[in-house]
Amino acid sequence: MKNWLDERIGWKKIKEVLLDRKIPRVTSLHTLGSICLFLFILQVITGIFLAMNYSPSPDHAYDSVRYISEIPGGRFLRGLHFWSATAIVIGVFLHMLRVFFMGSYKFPREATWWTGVGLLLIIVGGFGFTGYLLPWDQKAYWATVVGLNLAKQMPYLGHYIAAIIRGGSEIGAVTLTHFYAFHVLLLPAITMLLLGSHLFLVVWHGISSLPERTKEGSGQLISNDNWKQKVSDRYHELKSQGKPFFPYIVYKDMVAITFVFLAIVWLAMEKGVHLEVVADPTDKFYNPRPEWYFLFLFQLLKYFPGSFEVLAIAVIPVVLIGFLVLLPLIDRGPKRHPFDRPFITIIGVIGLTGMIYLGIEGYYSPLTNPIIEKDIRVLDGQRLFFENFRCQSCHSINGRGGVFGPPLDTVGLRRSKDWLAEHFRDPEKVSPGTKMPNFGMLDNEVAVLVAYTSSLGGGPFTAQAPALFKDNCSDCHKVGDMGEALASDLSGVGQYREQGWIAKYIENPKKMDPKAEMEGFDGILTKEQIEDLSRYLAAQR
Amino acid sequence: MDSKYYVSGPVGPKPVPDGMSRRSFFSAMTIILGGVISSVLGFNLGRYFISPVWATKKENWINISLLEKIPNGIPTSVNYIQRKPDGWMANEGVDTVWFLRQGNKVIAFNPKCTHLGCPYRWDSEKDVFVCPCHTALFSKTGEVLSGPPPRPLDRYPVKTENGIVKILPEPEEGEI
Repeated sequence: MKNWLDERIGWKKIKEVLLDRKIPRVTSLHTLGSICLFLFILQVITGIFLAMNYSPSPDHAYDSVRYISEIPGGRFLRGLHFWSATAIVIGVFLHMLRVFFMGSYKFPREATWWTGVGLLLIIVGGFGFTGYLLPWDQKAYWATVVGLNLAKQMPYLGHYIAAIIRGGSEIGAVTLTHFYAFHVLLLPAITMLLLGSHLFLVVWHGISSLPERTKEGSGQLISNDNWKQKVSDRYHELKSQGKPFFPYIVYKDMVAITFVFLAIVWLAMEKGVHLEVVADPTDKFYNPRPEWYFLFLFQLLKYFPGSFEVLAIAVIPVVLIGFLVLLPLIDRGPKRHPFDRPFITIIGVIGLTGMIYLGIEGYYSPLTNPIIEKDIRVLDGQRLFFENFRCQSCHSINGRGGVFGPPLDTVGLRRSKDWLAEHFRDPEKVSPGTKMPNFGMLDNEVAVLVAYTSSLGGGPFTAQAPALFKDNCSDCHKVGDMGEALASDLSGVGQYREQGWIAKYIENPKKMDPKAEMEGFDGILTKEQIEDLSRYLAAQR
Repeated sequence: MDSKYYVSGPVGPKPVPDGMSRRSFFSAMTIILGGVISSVLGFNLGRYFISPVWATKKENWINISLLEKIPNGIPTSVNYIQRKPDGWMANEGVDTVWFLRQGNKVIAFNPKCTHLGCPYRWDSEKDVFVCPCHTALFSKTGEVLSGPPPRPLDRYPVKTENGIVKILPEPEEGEI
């Protein structure tokens, strides 16, 4: 068998060059590169399978991503893709730090370093940015808005770059197909090229040995014209003492990879992937936040007002990337141990500390807008109501819509969920003689339409509710013409707060917002009264 | 540490037999761990990939017509609008069904010939269903009278509720 393979593909030579090659003594940190390679393969595999059930169009992207979660194993695969993407960002960054502090980018491995910097930029900047938009939820949409506007502010070419990435005149169908093509075709192709070169160079030069202090090992190399030869000789000496790549090094890599894989499996199963509500360019209350690994850039922007912002957007990133690219040319010579080249080491430590500090600051910076929990089913129902079945042609809500059918402002108060469901399935059955056609709605469509219509009116409140408001709240709050606007005006509160949240807030405001000045009504009003009042407020739209 | 000590030796610091057993242990562990990862991944990719095989269709009865509007004893075709789930979407399309009412009993025929799926029509003069593709003939109740079809016309499940005829237009086994 082995002979057969050898004659056809030169197996013995391959084994000798790849598997039996000796590797000098390495640490556990040297498994980081293999972990990244594994994670990239995992990304490719899970990505291919996700693409089978994904549709890159604003009309379908969000629904198709949700559809993936309904397929057996789909939720898990999406979890793997998401969490291994996060892991690969950490992985390539730590791998770079390892190479940086161990001076592994030095002669003869400069080209290996450059392909690595390319991979870092493509993976974090390219894949991260383009993949983010694909689910077409709020987070996706607003991250892309911010990203494109940042690109726009780059001097001279900014507008053109943004226009090319965006494709169309605004973020929409063409942007999504552009991002999809980048994410699944263009970037993987570039990555394969860079990764292929990177791996070839790793095998060609051999994995770098551990850095040695100048007093020991490479000490005699300083100020020697012939240092390149000596570095090479020392490396081959260390290499000859090492162990074969297979199985010793592969085993070590495999153990590390298994741990990482199990962690990702756990995250995919326990945490899953959060899908926010569908992208809504009209939302005024959304808090756009970048993914955690971009938080340092996000925070950086806050320190540069107005015309200085170009520093943060263009100058600092260009300096950072330029530093990485030029590093093997700036820091040359045989000295590799971090203590033997204090200048570079200090730059690295300062840069790293700065990034971590900015990242933490960004993470803890307060949100400007209230966090509004939205019921995805209600929003789905709303979409079906307005976009698919066009119920507004006949029915009105808040005075907008047709007059052919009854207005639905308070239908949630008047009709039970069962009635509504029957009504959607077969209007004739619950309202004989009705003009409403039977749309042949599917079960899930009926369910979300019921969720939406029963939310209209905020749930039933009693006739006492307005009086409760007048007696207890109107000294500070205002609804319509009633009360004083000393505290917040609650006229439209139902648009951005749900009834359950309002009830909890009335009961104990400090619990929902530690800075609230309002006193809780727990004990002053009964549970039923608080419930009643919250429904009344939720109906204020 | 005097590195020359190691360089001069023909093999590493470990004796050969021990080294061999360590070697095979590491090889085996590498393969086992690789196997664990591949099986977790393979199992989930597999069930995701082949899930369409056992995806169950939901019963979706469709209201077609009032019973009294279907002529008694004469095969009649009725067009209807069907809303079907299609992956993450819902599609609306016009379909057709052939009814044969005999009193209160209704038979609903799949409108495609059981031979190669051509649309057949009712020939009221000869009292037969005629398929234009290979001139197959079916009786009023769907039995094959002549031609190549392998079986009688396929029927949809049908029921009458509150005077409304409903069908369940699931494609029959073997339909093209």
